[in-house]
Amino acid sequence: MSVPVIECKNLCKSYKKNFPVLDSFDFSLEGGKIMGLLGPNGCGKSTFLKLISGLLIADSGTIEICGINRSEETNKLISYLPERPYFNSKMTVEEMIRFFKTFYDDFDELTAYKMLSDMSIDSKAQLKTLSKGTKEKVQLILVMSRRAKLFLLDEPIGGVDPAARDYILRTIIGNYSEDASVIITTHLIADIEPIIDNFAFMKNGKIFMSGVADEVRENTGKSLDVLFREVFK
Amino acid sequence: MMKKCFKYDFSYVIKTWWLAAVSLVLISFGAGWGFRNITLYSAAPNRHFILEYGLIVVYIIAAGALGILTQVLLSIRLYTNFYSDEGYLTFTLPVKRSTLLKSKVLCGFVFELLTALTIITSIVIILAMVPSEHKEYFNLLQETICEFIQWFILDIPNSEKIWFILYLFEMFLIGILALLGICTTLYMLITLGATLVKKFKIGAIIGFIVGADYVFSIISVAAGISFTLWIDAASYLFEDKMNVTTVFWIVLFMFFALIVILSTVITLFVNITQGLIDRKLNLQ
Amino acid sequence: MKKSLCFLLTFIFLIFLITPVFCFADMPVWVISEEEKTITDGQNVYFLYEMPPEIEFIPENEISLYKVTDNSDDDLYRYEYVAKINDDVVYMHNSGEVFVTEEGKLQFKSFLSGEYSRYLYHVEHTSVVDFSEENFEKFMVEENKTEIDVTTLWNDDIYYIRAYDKTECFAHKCGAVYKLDDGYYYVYYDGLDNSYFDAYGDFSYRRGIVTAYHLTGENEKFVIEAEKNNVHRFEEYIYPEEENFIGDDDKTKALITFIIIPVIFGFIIPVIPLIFSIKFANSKKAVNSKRWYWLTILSLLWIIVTLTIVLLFAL
Repeated sequence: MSVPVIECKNLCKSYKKNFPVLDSFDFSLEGGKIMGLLGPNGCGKSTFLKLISGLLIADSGTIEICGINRSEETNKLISYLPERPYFNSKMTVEEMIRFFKTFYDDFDELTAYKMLSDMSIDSKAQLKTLSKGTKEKVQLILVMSRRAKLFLLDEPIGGVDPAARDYILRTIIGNYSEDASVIITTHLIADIEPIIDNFAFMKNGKIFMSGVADEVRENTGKSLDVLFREVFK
Repeated sequence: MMKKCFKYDFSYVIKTWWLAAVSLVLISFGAGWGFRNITLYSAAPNRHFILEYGLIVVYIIAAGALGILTQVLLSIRLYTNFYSDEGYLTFTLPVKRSTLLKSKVLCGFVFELLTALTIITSIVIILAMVPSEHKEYFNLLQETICEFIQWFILDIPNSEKIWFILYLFEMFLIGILALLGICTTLYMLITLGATLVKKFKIGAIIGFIVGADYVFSIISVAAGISFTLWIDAASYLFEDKMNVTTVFWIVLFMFFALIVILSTVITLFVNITQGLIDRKLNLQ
Repeated sequence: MKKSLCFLLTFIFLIFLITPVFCFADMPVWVISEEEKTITDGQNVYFLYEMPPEIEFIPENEISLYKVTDNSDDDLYRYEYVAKINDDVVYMHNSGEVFVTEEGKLQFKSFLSGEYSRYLYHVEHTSVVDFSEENFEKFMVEENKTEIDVTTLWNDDIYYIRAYDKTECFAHKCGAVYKLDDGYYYVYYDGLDNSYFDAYGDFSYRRGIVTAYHLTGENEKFVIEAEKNNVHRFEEYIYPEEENFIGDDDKTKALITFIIIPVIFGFIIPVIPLIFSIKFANSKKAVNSKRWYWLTILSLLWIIVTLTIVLLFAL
């Protein structure tokens, strides 16, 4: 039996006393799956991704990435795309690529430059001169150019135009390896539904409903988008 | 990983810092020229040294500005790299948080040292430009150094020289710790403002820095007065019992006590900063 | 572990408090007896010493001043200061009287019979160099003997040769080296009769001719070298100043200050980070507890170093 790419047990995190964001949260994902983590605002999706990526430290519980306890070492296996741009805006795209190459051994420079040229983004441009959408594209390119085991994408298509959304979704599918997994959080369920294998609905810091996307569509005859609206109305 | 982090921290700060440092050195040539003219032609009637005095004032402002700029650049680097959106990238790197902080501390220390050295160099340039026959201050400095060396070599018996070498070494360590102390204090105050306060973080940081400055002033005055009183009391009580060797040991341990106190304060500040980063970091 | 730490800290705290008491007990009380013409610090007894006029009282060492009381029956306090030069010699600051122990008297007797060390001094009292018997004899070369008018000898460049006793307090000028335009000249005072000296025992420059030896070759080099290596040997006298005048009450204040300040700055203040560092080091929530142990070690070191400094003063 293969080790799950990510396994969380009894994860708890709260920002204020008696107001837990994640409450005894259990989660597991096998390799080679794309999972959509869906829920209303404030249900703990971003907090969960931050806990996995190491931005936050859990109050209790365990997180294992490919069987290894979460630490700075596991950051080598994780590629995280946050909701907002995280660059030093004084750097150029080229310098950011060099930065990623310095810190991540699995970063593929050629893939990054290829994707940049596909999107007609000048590598010598300073990041602060790029539009919001272009910045998000650059960010995605950097994240997806890594050969990580786990990709965490927090609202990857939130602020981009529809044409770019398609490109981003195709990039996601086309650039992760078969033994790697992807967790995507978004509220644009209709857009990501075609690409996800598994889904999980989050509510009040716990997984409310989860399963294989195709199975649920077959059994209920509804799309995930419709199901989501029914569950969270 | 430490080297990689340091490289990026250093290159971020040096991009702006080097311009200010070079400007200060160039201005020091101007101030030296001004000083020189004032010294040479001070007796000339109806001569007003407006440009010369102006250059000297500009130099003084520039020297102060370099010191402030260093603190500002280090603060900006820490804040943007840790507590702004860039923190999403920083804290997801495969680097320990302690390494990230150590790199910042090392970078801070290096730039404090470079700033001090640049200011000393600029002063030497000014003094060197003063005409040789008017180099009272330079000569005074030179004489003081020569007298000290002569005193050390000739007056002090060989058996006692080792003490003064130890004292010099301790003073050197105290200098290094003082520079480290400045940047670790700055980083702790920024971290306090950035992690404990949810809104108006910049305002909170400024508040912490101003407050800390006030508190440190009170503490240092209190410590200075207490130390003076204690030495007076000790001299009065035990002077006739003192022999030379005991005095040497006391001075050695007093310097050592200062080293220990500075190290403790620095360690405490670093631990507080690290603890806040580990437990209270909440990037919005 | 908590109990052991509390015990250790309490023990150290007590040492801070107790240590100065040892030195308090050692404070000497100086008492003068007018009748017996003695002065004592409770251990040594010093007797009034009448010095011959030609002997100078010119001590080499740093002197400490103590207030002395009168032990006469009428209970009057006399505020005088006694300067302790060394264990054998004390000097009454106001009256100028010298008091010596029996040992000091014996040393002075042997000084008068020739046991002394000689030092070459510039007239301004900065000392120059030890001057052995050998050099003394070498100066007196017959071929270089000459007669000089004494009025020409008086100038700024006079190097006295003082003979000091074992206590290094009493001195006798046994000769002098004069720097004139044509070189150095040595006059041996001990070889002259009283007509060359005034009523105070000093060499007179008023009139007369004196035998002098012109210093050449090695002798001249010796004096030139000595001039170059002019080393200041005297320590300064510490005179009582208003702000240093310390009465009996201030002794208590001084002791309290000596205790309280190390307790606050060397014990209470470092104990705070010590306790917190131990707490955080053992906290389960701590991400990395090792770094807190460094703070524990440094805080303990702070306490130990402060205690060491206090002990160095007190013991």
